[in-house]
Amino acid sequence: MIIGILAVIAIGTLSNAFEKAYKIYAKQDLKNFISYEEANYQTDYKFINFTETIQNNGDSSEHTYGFTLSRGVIISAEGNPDDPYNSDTPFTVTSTHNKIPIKYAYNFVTGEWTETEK
Amino acid sequence: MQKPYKRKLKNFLINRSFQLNILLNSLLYFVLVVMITMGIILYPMIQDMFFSTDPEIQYRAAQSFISVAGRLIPSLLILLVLVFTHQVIVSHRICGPLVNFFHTFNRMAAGDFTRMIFLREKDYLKPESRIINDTLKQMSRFIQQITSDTVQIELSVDTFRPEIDDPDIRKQFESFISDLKNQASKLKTDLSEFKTLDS
Repeated sequence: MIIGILAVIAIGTLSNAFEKAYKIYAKQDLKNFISYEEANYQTDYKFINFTETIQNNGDSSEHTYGFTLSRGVIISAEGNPDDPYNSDTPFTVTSTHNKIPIKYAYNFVTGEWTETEK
Repeated sequence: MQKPYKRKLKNFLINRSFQLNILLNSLLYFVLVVMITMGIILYPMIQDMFFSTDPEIQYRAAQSFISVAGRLIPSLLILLVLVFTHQVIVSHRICGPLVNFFHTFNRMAAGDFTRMIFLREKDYLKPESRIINDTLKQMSRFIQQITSDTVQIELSVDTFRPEIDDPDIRKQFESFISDLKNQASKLKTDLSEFKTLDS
């Protein structure tokens, strides 16, 4: 009985810890990606233009854009990469992990972080 | 041609309640061991992930956690399966002889000393079974010896005819001899109730 209760608590804690780890992955990769885009803006005055979603499914840790994502993290973007700070077409990047139910978004114009359900 | 005997999983549970009790208890203890092991190994990473204010430390802790837990959990699950399988086999090798002992003891209680214990090659409790088999042989020998001695007593009493002149003493003696014969006969009947191994 006691061992059963302990096992349930342990499984719950472990499940929470996994979810937290995946959230940290998604958040940290998004931060890294923001820095990566900002660095590009410093040199080229525009962001890297990508239309597809970039993700690491575990088969490769290196992406074609030269940016390394954590395993399971998916990043997508919206807006005009040539004019990312235009408030009419703000550049927004979204990050999530395939094992968590939420996604993080960052708006380059407002500098706001949002956390929403998938 | 005789078909080779294939042991089914249900045949591994000879004494279901006893074996399931052992299996359940060992699994529960193993789960406890797993929880303690995982707790000790993963706690520092979980603590950093949940309570650190530095995102870099949180990220590193998350990386370590995923990496360690990703290897630890499958290996512990494999171990759990191995422990379970091992427990089934071990309890089977103990319960097989125990069931054998149980039937032999029942027969011994009924006076039958003929049921020897034969164990399979990989069964446990072989020294104990040897002692029980030796006891059966020894008991059989004792009973056969007592039976033989009783027959000898009967024969000796039958042939024993001393010359006694005094009629009273002779009568007393004949009565004593008759009692002795009856006792010997009763003892022989009682001993014949036992089933013994052939010498």
